[in-house]
Amino acid sequence: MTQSATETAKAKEQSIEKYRVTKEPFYLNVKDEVALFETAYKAKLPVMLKGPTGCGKTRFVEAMAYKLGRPLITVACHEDLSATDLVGRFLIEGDETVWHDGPLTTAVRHGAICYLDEIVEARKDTIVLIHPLTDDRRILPIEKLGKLLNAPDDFMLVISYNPGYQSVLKDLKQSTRQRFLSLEFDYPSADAETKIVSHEGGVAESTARDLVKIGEKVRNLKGHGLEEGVSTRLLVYAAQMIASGVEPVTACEIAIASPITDDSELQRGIREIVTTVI
Amino acid sequence: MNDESWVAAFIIHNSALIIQIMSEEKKSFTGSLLRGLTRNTVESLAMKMGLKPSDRGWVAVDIGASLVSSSPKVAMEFFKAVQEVSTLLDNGDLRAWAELGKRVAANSIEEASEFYRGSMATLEAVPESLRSLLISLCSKQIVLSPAAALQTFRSAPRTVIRLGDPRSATRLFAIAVEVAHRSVKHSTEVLTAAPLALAALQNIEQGVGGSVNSPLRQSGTASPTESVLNLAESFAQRTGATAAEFLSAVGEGLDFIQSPDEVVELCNQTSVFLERGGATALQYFRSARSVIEVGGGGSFDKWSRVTRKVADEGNAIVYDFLKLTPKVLATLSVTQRKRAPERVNAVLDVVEELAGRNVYVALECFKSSPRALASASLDQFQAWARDGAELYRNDRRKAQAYYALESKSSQEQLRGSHDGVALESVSHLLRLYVEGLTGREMTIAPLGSIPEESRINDGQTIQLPSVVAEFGSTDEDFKLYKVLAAHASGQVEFGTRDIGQPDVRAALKEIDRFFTDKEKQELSAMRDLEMSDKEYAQYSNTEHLGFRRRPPLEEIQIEAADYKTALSRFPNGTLATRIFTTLENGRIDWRLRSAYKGIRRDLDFVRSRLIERRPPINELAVEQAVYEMLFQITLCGGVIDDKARIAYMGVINEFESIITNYVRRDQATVADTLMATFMVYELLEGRRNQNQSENETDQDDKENEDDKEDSSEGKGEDQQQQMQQMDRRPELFNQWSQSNEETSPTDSDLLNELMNAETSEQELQEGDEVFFYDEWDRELGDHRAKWCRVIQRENRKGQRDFVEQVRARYSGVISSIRHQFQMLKPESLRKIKGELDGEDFDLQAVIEHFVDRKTTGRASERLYIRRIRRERDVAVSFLLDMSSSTARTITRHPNQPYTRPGQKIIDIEKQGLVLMSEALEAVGDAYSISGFTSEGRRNVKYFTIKRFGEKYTPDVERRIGGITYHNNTRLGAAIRHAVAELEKQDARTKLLIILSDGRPYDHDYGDSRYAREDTKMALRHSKIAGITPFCITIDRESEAELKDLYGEVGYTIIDDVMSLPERLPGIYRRLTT
Repeated sequence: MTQSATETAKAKEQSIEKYRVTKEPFYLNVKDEVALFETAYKAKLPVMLKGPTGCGKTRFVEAMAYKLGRPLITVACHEDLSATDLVGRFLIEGDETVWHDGPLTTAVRHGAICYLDEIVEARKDTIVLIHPLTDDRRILPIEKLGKLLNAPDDFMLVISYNPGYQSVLKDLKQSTRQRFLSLEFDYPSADAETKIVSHEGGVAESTARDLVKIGEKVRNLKGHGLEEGVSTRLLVYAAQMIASGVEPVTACEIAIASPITDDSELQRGIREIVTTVI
Repeated sequence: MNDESWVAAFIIHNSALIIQIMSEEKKSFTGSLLRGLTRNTVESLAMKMGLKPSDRGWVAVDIGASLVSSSPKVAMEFFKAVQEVSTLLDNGDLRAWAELGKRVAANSIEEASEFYRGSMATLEAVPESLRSLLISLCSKQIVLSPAAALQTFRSAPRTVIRLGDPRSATRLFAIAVEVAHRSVKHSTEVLTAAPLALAALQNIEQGVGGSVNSPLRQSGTASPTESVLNLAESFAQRTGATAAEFLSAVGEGLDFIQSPDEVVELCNQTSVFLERGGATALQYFRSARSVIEVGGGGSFDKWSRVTRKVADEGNAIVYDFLKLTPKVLATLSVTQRKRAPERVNAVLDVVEELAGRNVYVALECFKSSPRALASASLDQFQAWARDGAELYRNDRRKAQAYYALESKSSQEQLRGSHDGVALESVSHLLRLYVEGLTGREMTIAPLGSIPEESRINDGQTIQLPSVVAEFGSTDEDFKLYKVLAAHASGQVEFGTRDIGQPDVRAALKEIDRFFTDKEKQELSAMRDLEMSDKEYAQYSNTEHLGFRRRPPLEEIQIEAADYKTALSRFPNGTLATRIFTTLENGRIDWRLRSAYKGIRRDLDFVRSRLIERRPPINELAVEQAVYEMLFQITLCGGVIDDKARIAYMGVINEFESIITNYVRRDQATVADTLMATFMVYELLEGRRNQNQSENETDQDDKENEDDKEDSSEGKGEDQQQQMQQMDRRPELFNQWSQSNEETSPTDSDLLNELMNAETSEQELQEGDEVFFYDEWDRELGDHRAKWCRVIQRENRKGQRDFVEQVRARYSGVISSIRHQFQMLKPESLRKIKGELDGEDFDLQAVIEHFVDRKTTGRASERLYIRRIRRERDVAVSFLLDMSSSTARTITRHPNQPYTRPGQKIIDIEKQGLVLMSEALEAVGDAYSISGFTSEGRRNVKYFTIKRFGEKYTPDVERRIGGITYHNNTRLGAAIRHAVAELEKQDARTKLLIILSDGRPYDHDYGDSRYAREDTKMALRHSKIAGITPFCITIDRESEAELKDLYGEVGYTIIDDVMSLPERLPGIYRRLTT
């Protein structure tokens, strides 16, 4: 039996409860995205979260799941993600083949929030699968079982999409994008980000402020050699390293300069910015 | 004077009069009458009177007679004038003069009459010695240009006055006559240029301690004027025109020449070069002038030694050298004017040294010296030059390339041989740094010297020193760059250039109001004074005291208030600017420190160095000392010198309180700096006025005394002194601010001009993109850095018909090609059985699994079917040779040139491209099509016909139709650019297909071997970059060469060129499957 199959089998054993978000995740409402998301949920509309990597999309969904009291099933999409991986498959158990729900099916059955992270990475034929769930039909056809699953009212589909990649191959098709409400995410404002870094990284506010300042400066370099600015997540990492006693400059080196680029000149530039701020 | 001749003249005169009267009545009749009458009657009359042709009267009669025949009116004027004029001129000149009028009469009766009428006055005004010269000059000129001759004649009195000294004037006229042999225009110019030249020379002669020219005369050498005139004469004899240019070159000024002897020497040297032609000598003089001007007398000796050596190599090279000299010197002196002599001398030392070995090499070194010095210090430059001499002792070509800074290793040598950090090596890094800090696009420009404080930048460009070698370690040198860059970013971040902010507006208004009020008060005070003391008013007016009425502040200026507007409202703008710059730097420093913790370390480090360098205040003049204190308080954290701190306690306290209250605040804006500037300005200006009034009272006292003693001389001196003081004072501030405002944009322009002197760069068109690529020099064994300029341009659009026609002609072929290529296109999903994981069970495998398990207990887990996407991931770039050689016509039927005319290679290639595009559209590979030609290394043109990612639109079709042939084939550069473009593509297989008709060639592409090696190197690099190059060529004849050229990569030769279109897709298919 394959490994993933085993996992799916185990997943089946445990109840949907394991998908519940039990502890309130830290999330700072930046604009009005929390209220909008709640409204979308009530209106049973699917939502697309757009924004650069590491700006808090995933965290936002977690926080919303907690707030709405729904289980959250997250699928990280990749280029080999097939329809089967989402819907479910037959596995051999003993002498018989047994149907195992995929994450999407599980979410539909239990009225959970299904979050397809980085949806553009998934294969195009897989993406099409979610179409019937996103319009007013709200159904999931399971071909192999010959069933049609009606999604309960509390089921919600959320996808995330990073327009930064802008590769022709990895662009979301209009037929898909036009099925979603879209919430734009960007890096939080300096004050908000300071709070986040301070809270998540466990550092003093002044340190957090410095890190945020570095982040802001490094993001200025986007387009001048950097594909993408430094994410809030990386800033939090840097803060966590500092909180654990790593020299701040070193922490920024391993958490900021090095991860975001391989270009040595660019790294040096970032390092100079770091030593300017700290 | 013979009386009879005048009788004859009188008779003719009268007869002319009669004829004229008659002619008014009966024109046709008198015309014939006149002709018959004059010729015979006049001559016979004269003969009868016993006049000989040599007599003066004969001249008058003779010319008069011929004039009568053409115009009685002119003849009358002639007879009126001739009697008087003949008293001034001798026989020959009289005849020449009369002839002049006659020639003029041929063009214009009016002018001729005017000429005779005015002659007497003109000639009288010209000294006797010059009259003959003037007439002969005019006679020469009139042959080619009557207008010029008349002009010369009429302006002669003025010219004489302007020339002054009659001796020089005579010689100059003689020169002009000489020049007029060859060029009328230049003979006129001799006389117009001469006065300035003479004035310049006089300055020098009188400049020698008042003892005008006696010592020189005694020592037996010529005076400068004499030698210049001698030289001008030689010029005139040799080439004519250059004499005028020479004189105007002298006239441009020789102030920088220290002694008259130098002028004499310069002339002597120049005359040596006259043997090589006038133009060379003239160029010599000009260059020598610039050498003395920039480098001083010592450098002239060195330079002339070098010149002589160069001259041994022939005329052409020495002319090049001479032409180059002023440009090189100008570039050397642009950035650091004060150090220019030092730099020039050092360069000339090195060049002289090199010239001892090889003149060509020395010349190359001379040429690139400004560029080398732009990024290196003098010592480094010298070391670099000497290293080169050692390295390439025996190889002239390599040495030349080395000194031209063409080879990469030479550039590294220059950079590597010095301590310190060159801007070039960190400018990219600094740009990233600055863009990071400011979030704006900024450019970094080099600056000749290290500034004491940051300049106020324009918000787009940051000027940084071209090299920093201050601290002895690379890290520390870099810190200075970092601090300067941080300051520049600070100016952006903390709003130095804020426009129209409410607080800036308020500051502007306040400053303006203050000075306007003050001006009003002072003006009215002045008026009162004038009223009460008229005597005083006589020599003091408002202007005298330096008051200018400033235009009132306009509303729009307030709207867009910025620091510049505010500074312009100060009566002394330069002083205000100076203060502002320092204070603003202080503010930026403060705000940087409060905003960025980390930069404090570097700021402190640089500050400590700055403190070491400050001059001791006690040794400075009071005004400078005050400013220095402001500087130290603002930027060094306080006055360094304890003694000064006590001595100037009052001022220091005031400064400190202003700076603390305005500048050193965490939220201080540019408006705060402006207010602080205003306060410091008033403080300084207040002191200055105080001093001034003190001086004035002193003056009054003295004057009183003087009056008593009635010695007006002393008073004059005093006044002069005071004037000088007044002059000097603003200059002091100017100096400060000049170093601050001085911009050197011309620096790089000059450099560019210098470097591209030999290879002309064509003008760019709109939308052109420019790239630079290295080129491999096989003899050098090194790349020539940034040697080729590739201009990327969209190909011109031609007719779409071309593509349509090809499609129609090859419709059968196209459909089969399309079919073949669609087959190539992989099915989007492919089922793979026997996978460990997958979408579906493979039923057969499941059955086997269960059977196996029941029978053996062990079974395969490979039960799944998986569908996998197989993608064809190819990017291909077609590079088309568009050189003129592709215009060759190829035919299958050479014996039937008219019925079956054949086709141009380029058209065949174009057809191939059309078919290829069809194929590629079918298979869906990413592709680009471009063509190239070249005209020298700076003009390699890369025409884009279809870009990657662009759809195959009618526009593209038109561009294919617009492909045509021109110029040469610099293949290496084109390949490098194509590779650079392909590298941006994200594909697994990358192909570069080159369609060429043979060998690479360009007029400056070396010999065929050089071109081949460069191309090979380019192809090799393309392979290293993961791009497969493939060449399709049609030149069967030189297969051996082709094998050498493309042997390392793939190539194919198409025998039957006509079949290229059909075969091209096939070749491509073979390559990609």
